[in-house]
Amino acid sequence: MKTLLLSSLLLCSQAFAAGEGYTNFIRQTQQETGVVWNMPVISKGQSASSGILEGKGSLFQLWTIETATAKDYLLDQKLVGAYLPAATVTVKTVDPYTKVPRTRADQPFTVTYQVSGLLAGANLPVASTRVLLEQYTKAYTTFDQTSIPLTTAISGTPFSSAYITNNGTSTLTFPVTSLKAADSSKLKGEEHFVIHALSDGTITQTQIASALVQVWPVTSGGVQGITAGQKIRFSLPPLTATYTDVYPGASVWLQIYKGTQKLGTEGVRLPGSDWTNTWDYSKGKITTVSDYSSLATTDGDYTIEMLTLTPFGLERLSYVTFSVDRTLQINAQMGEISP
Amino acid sequence: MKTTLILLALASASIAAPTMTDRITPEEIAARQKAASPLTAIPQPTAVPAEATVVRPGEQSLIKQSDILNDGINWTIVPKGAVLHVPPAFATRVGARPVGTLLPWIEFLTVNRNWLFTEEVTFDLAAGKKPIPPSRLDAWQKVNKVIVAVHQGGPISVRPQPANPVASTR
Repeated sequence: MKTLLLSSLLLCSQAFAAGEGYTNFIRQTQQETGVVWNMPVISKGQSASSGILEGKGSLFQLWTIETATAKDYLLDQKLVGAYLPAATVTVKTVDPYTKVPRTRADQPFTVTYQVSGLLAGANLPVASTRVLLEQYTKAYTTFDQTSIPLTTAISGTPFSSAYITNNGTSTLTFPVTSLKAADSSKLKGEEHFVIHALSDGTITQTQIASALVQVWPVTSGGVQGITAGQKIRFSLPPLTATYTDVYPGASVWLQIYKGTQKLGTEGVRLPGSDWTNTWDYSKGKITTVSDYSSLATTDGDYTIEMLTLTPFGLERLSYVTFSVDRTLQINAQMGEISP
Repeated sequence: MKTTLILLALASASIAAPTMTDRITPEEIAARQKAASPLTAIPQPTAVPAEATVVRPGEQSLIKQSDILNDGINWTIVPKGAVLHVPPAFATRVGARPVGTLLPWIEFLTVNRNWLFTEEVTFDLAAGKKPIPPSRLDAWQKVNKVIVAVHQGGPISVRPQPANPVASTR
């Protein structure tokens, strides 16, 4: 029996598939007859397949080919069938960025899955009573990597997995990423959540839903040119600020205020210290600041702080407190000069 | 009234200035990672098979699963089996190397109408359940163009039919 595919298929390209230099293809493969159809496709959108859903289902694959290298990448795939359980899975983070769900190594996120078409009762085939949810973690290997092909991302043993036996919608809250590294604040990579139908031995692929989230490291940084407790008598020394792993879209700057360090103090931005990471991956920057003596004209303690503003809030990355003492003290003795 | 205004002022001030925190330490993140995966909270069936019978996408290549059409400047891909007829004059343009600029099928077809022709087919015909009408086979011979099977504008593979002379035209 054949059923016309009434539901529309939504396949959104990942970050790198949407970019220049890539051409996307959606391929539908009929599981029963092996017929392959390339759907006309644009970089992002929604399209109703006019193909028929055979008993064993249709496999929809989203591919992209890098024009310069003629290298192809499988970005996503989904098996849809009239007699298969259906599922969706989505990841939500605090970051409102829309191209791809992304978060930071220390931030929570949620995974919502919806399953339908599961049957309940005795003497039913196992494949009709449950689906399998898998969680994969994969680290980025280069500094500017923003995507991992699906086949690489879900290769190997999943980090965790569980059967889903009930239809309906559920949400899982992850307090933090499951990626691992020696420094937990510098985790960088992707987590993939995949739902499989169980195979009865006749279908060649079983993935019915998937979603991913990018994970970026926590920004760090420091100021060179001035040290904690330093006493400055003349003009303030030039500074070198090193910003490391600034979150995509986040801004970072230095501020100065009079007094010893106190978290939450609003100071004055050091001119030339502002920088915003406009790239779609975490990035570093080194900047110099020299003309800021006018911000510390009176004697006393001063604090310079490095701050960053991200979708997760305003954070202090580092600080240094020093003192300015420009009072000239002259010790002299009054005396008489004899001719 | 005065109290309301003060509260409103405080509220707007709190919106304008986000609370500042110190950078989280790696140790704090590691401590949060010690919690069990939320997947462990999903109720599991009592009888769980030893190994899940799922099939994951292994290494595969879209290009290797396709036929490449190349006009000397641009190239595109169609599913293997989508090219129904190739006149000898255009044999080098089918099954070519992926060299030049990759174009989506529709764009490639638009700039190569002079040697490309499409044949709209149904899924049943593509599956070999229905034969290609002989009148169409005759028509292909006369147009002297490469014939590509399409379904609603997208190239589609056509399974060879034993009783159908289509396969011998390539």
